[in-house]
Amino acid sequence: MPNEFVLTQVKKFFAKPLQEAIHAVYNNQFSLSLVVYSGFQDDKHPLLSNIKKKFQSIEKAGSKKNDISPAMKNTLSEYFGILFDPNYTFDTFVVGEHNRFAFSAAKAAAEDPGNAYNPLFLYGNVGLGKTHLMQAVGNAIIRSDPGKVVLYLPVGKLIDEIVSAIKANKLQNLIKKFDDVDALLIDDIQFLANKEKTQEIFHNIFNDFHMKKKQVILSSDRPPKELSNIEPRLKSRFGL
Amino acid sequence: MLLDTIDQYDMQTKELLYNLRDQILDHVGQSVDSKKIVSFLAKVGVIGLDEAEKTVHI
Repeated sequence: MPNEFVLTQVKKFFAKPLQEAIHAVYNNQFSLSLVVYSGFQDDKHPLLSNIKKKFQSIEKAGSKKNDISPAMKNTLSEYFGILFDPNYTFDTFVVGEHNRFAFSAAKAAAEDPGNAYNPLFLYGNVGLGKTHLMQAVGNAIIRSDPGKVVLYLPVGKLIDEIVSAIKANKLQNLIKKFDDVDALLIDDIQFLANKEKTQEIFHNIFNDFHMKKKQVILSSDRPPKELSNIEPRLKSRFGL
Repeated sequence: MLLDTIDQYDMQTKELLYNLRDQILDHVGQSVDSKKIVSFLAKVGVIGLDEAEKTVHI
């Protein structure tokens, strides 16, 4: 894994499929060990191959299979190369005692984006469906108005984009892209910890969304007041 | 330490690990959405095999 963020995401989404693949294609007695190796930050590392090309044809076939409308594809998430899963809907979300309020708040935000709960802050342990719920709001917003643009970003991707934009002296270009977004979904906001510059830029983006009454949904593994190494002014905005 | 020795792998080892990654991705692609694979596994590779501990390091 090139960094801790990818390690967390791969553990979350791929631990089981990767383990099964190792058993199937190499040796069923071998187990999986996930580690950070910074050498993989280089796309051209000899142990990596260009899987975008490899999976291009499968992607085309897959999009037909999932019956995603052109409007659903018209999200900036695609621009950023991030999965926005059309199968994450309210219908497929399992509601229980522990998440009933979050579910109701998410539905309210989907029905009246920018007004009912803005920002909507979802927190809880890994595997409880925060990503599912926030994307369900996004899907519902797009379904009710296909002209809306919803952007889903894991915060690690947001950090990468901001850092790259700063290095390339194109920060304003990146910020301008957010002008086109009607609803912003940021996953795992706790990883903003200790990223002072990114926090400052995100704070401005957040304020702009809030001022324009555009929906913001954030997820974290803990409530805003327990977030560590995040600026108090930002935490207080999360807890609005 | 495994991570320190990757740069010194010979061509044969690199080829083996590279091919194993390809096969693993092909297999994962049978059950996982390809977009998800491209988003999350583009910079993920097999960095070593430990025969003694029966472990694949990814």
